Amino acid sequence: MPTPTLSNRRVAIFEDDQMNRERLSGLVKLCGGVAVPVDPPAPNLNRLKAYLANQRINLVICDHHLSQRGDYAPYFGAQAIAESYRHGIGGILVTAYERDDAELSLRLYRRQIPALIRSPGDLDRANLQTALLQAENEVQKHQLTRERVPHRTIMTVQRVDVRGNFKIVKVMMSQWSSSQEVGFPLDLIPVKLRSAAKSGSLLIAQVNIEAARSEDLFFDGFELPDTNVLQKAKAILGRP
Amino acid sequence: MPKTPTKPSPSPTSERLRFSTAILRLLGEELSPSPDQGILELIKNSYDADATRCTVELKGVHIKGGAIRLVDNGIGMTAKEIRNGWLIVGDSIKSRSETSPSGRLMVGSKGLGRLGALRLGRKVDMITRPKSEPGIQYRVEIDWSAFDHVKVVEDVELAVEREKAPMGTSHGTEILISQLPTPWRESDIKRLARAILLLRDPFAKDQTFQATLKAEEFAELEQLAHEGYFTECEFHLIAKLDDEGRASAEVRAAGGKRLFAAKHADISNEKDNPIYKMPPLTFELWEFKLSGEWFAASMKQTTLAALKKWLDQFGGVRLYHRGVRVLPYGEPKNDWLDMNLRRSQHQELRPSTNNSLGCVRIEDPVGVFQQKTDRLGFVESSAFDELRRFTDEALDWMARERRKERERKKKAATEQVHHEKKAAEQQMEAAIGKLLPAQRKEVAAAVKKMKSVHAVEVELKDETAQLYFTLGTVGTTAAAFAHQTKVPIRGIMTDAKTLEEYLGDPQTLALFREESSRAVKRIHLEAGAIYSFSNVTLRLLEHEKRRSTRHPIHQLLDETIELLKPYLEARETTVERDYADGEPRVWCPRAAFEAIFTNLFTNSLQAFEARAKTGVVAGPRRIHIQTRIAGDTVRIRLQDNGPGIERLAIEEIWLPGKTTTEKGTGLGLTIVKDVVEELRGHVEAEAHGELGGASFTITLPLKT
Repeated sequence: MPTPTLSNRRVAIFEDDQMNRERLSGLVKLCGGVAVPVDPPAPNLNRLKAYLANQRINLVICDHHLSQRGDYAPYFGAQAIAESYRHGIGGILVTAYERDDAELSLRLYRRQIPALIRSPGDLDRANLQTALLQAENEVQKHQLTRERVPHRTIMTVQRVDVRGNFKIVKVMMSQWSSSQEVGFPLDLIPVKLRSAAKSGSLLIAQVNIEAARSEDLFFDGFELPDTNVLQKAKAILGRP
Repeated sequence: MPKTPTKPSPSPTSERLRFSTAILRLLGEELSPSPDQGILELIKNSYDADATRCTVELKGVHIKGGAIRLVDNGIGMTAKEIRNGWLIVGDSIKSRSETSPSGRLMVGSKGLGRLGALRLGRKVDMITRPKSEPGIQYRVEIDWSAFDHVKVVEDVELAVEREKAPMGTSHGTEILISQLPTPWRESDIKRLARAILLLRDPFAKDQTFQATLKAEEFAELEQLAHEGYFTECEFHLIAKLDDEGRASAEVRAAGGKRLFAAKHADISNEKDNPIYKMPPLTFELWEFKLSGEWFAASMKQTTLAALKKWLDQFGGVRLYHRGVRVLPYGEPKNDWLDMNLRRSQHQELRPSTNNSLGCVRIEDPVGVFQQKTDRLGFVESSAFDELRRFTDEALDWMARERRKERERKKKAATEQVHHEKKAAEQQMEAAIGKLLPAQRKEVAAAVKKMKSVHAVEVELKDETAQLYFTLGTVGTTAAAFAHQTKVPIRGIMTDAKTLEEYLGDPQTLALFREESSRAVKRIHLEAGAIYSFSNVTLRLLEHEKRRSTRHPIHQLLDETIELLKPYLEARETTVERDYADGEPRVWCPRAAFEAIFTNLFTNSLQAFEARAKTGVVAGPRRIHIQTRIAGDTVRIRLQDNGPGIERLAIEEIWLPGKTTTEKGTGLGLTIVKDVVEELRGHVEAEAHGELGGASFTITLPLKT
């Protein structure tokens, strides 16, 4: 029998599909944890802290779309994890997200999501256990894995796409990949810097560029390159 | 602590920053990517000097050591202008809002392109005869090899010699760039010929400046340009922006007949139709139909091959700023308006760079648009974004109008056939009525027979049409619920992996016996769900459903709801029914009815899902169906409490490809409209009905 390492930690499971809640509960038990399937969940994010405290929750597992089937919770799983992160409880997302989610509703909160398991491909006992312990280490002991450490990164804005009511900034970061574009919501950039996000412009942000998958990248601490440095570069290269 | 006395510093010397000769190479060669770019810059200088013509001559450029000679009839330069302008690299005397003596807005800038051109050869001889000093000319010779032997640029002295101009010469400038270090290929010359010809719009009527290349390649191209096949176009778009940033547009047919016209609010796609924040401009596009059959039928004056050759050379949308072309817009493979991408989505309604030719003309008196230092394109400023918004929205508007026109024609053709058929039947009955009784009986029997054979034929055709509608419905359903089908599959995969863990170790199995039996039970349930989903498709495709017969509507509605139950349950959606009294019936194939309502239910379920994806929860999901009898018709109203129809005009929801949801195909409502019209009914939509979501009312003729 594999060694269970969750050692009776209480794990809250937010999932709008009852059968999936049961599945995740089974896996949590297999890891040695105590599964706390949540139904109904806190009606809003403000009430989440009290719920987690009352239930003495140590860790959180969330599906991302919590209202796919009906009206389970009026928030995304990513928001719930970010909220629990702020209250010192680590959490992971277990979800079959899509590309649009990765660049929009996931990216908005990715900084506070220590681990993300794509189901069903990566969902098994071993991965679940590793991810939950990683979340605990990051939130409580501030031990970040190499893939989660942010670095000051320069990026070139390729374009700004409109997706529904949101704008997605598409950038290239040669420090991460010389060929793959990455998108994030314009809302992540502080309001006073947003006008600078135009095709061809340069931005700087804290990015975990050691992450292998684009969906694991987070963007934080935006700033604009020093204009004097840019002017000098333009003068040397003769290009705007 | 006492201060240490400081030594007096030596008095400062006066120094200057100087530039290495290597900078010449960097600026001149790296900023001018190709020979033609540099020469175009020299021609632009001629334009700025008010020349009406500028001739470029190539002498022995096929071999090493050739020369390029450029002659214009502009106002020339005085010695002062040579010193303070021509010989200063990177500082143009031209301001962006300045005009030439004749009032031309300046198009050259910075002097870097000129440097690139002058460095094409090892030697440059420039002679200029200023208009302000008749009979005088100035000569400057530059031998670039002199710069190879010094450290800084300032170490080479250049003389500006004043001479008497030869008799018979007029004002203007001549530049001879000689001792070209590398031979030019045929393709270089062709590219230069094309670049010079297109520097000014070769199709514009007003030609106050003409640039010419003395070469066979240029003459051929010029001839081709003069062919001008504009009158052969299928559509001619003329979109304009006025001084206030308000748009107007029209589309004309080949003969000049106006097909569609639009005001600002019709063109702008954005909420509240904001003005375009940019200087006035004109965007013209000629689109050609490159189909052999259409060409033959339309009695065109030219051949398809000739038109294609012409479009090969001049196709694409070029940009003219202050009357002079800005590269690379409209160059081969430069689809800066993304026309090809858009055409791939709507082949029949959109132009591509292969079948159209166009230009954007901007005067820009204040100099809002700024070209990049390498002269390839504009700096992507907010004005450039606005330019793209305008061209995109103008092209979108044209596509919308064409789509509406297609729908109008289709409807008119259907109605025409119905009228003609009715008239023919009446005519035939009247003719039979005039016959002798014995003949009348015989002919009536023959006609009856013919009608019944025709009815069978029509039924077979209807069945085929119905098959397409059904296949379309299967497609829209599959696209909408692909995710739904994946959910149980994902569940089974996870349970299978967990079961492997349980079964891998007897101790674990013993501990998790209850969990393992629950996993097996879940697998059964999920397999059942997959079976139900696949069954929907199979039941939609049942052959018998494509035959027309008299159906009780309420029963059909109930059966359609039952058919879609797996999807409705999976999305926790309740269907409320409010049926009229009695048992109204309609004449239709069952498949047609299912196509209408399957697509409408799918539309509602997708709207619920799209809203859930934004994180909004709006209470239990409801779909409400109501039937009412009105005279000899039945009105069926389907409403939901979803987000309603947003970001799309009501009249556009029926158009193929138009959707407001991420996974929508944009075909579901098109099928609904087509099928309802096939059944001689009509359908109306409201963006927000009584329940807040979309509302559709279908009216069908009753069959008593």
